[in-house]
Amino acid sequence: MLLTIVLTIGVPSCGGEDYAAVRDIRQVIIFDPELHQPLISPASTSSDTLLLIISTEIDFFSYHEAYVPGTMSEAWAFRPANAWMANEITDIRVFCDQPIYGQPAHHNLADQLTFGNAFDFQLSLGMFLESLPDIRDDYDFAIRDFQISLNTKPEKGTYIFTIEMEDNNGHVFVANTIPVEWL
Amino acid sequence: MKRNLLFLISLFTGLSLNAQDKRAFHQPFQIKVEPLELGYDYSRIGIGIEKKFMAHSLWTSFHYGTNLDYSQARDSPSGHFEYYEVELGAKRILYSDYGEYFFGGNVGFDKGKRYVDDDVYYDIDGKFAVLLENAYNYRTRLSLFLENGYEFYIGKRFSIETSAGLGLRSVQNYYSYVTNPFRLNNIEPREYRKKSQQKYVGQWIKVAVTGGLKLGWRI
Repeated sequence: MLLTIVLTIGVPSCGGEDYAAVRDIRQVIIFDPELHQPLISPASTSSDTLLLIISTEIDFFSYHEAYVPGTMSEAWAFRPANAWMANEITDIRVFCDQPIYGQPAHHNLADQLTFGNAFDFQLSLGMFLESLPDIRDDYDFAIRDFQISLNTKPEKGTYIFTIEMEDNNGHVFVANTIPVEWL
Repeated sequence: MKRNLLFLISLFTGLSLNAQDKRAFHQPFQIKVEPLELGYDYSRIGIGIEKKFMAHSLWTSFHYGTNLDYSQARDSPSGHFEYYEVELGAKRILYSDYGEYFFGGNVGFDKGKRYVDDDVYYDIDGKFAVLLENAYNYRTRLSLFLENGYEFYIGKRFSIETSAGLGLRSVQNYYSYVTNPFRLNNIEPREYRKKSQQKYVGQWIKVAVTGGLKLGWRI
């Protein structure tokens, strides 16, 4: 009976945050899907494919009470309202310090790569950007970690990749990978 | 009704109902302390002087406040806080057996400065938000109040004054010395929170009420 009462009425919400903003790239991990492990420095691989796993730094801000006037169910919600996105990613660029995939060094490779949140579900850059939450959409974990697939084995050599993410306010977040030697 | 009308007219024309009462002449100066402000989240103290004439008085008061214990700071301001206020006022005094009624007005200016870190502010007019590493938040207020009250005499030296008032405040809230600002365009507060007013940058005018309790010491 007590459980029924609790489930019916709910418990006071602890509140949440108003907004979530992508603030930076926290880290880029090189993951070898054939070995099923991340590569650590000095990194070398003979795999046909590598994944760059991008972890973003998210700032949540401005405490938000989960309350909608006139609706008791919202006032006594089990979960606080979702944070809204305060910015959105408008472009992702990938550069390499060496010529790769027929492109010169320091050329944007994004159009030749695929992006996604799972290894087996990858999209083109345009479709991936469309799938990310826009400004004032609910915060989505998809923005926190995503993958860039280097799905073609390049020439033997040592490569350093640079990832640039740009938001709707013109902020550009930059991160480099560790050097990876492709055998 | 007619009596009330005459009373109001006398207030504004400066005519005294008890012009012969000499008590104000005998104790023309008072030092007044406002102890209740020590109970604020950020403890303040107010001290001032009052010069009394036959049926009027002029007074001024200076207030200083700070947070003595940072761990008690609530609602985001996370660091040192300082507050200054100057008030000037005038009263029309009506004597009674145990003290004096008064009616008057005052103008005040105050400025608060607080250190904040790892916070956000919203520019309401510009419709943008700024995440910041640390900064100073300033709030200035120009206040104009009409007030009335009563001052009880406690012996010849001391008094307790209570008052209440209604007025207007022009409030300006701004930030400076912002380090590592991260601007987010097209962002407004999802919900206006009275307890988080320091987060809203801009200038606005609002109706305000005031109340006070002063301990007076006659010189």
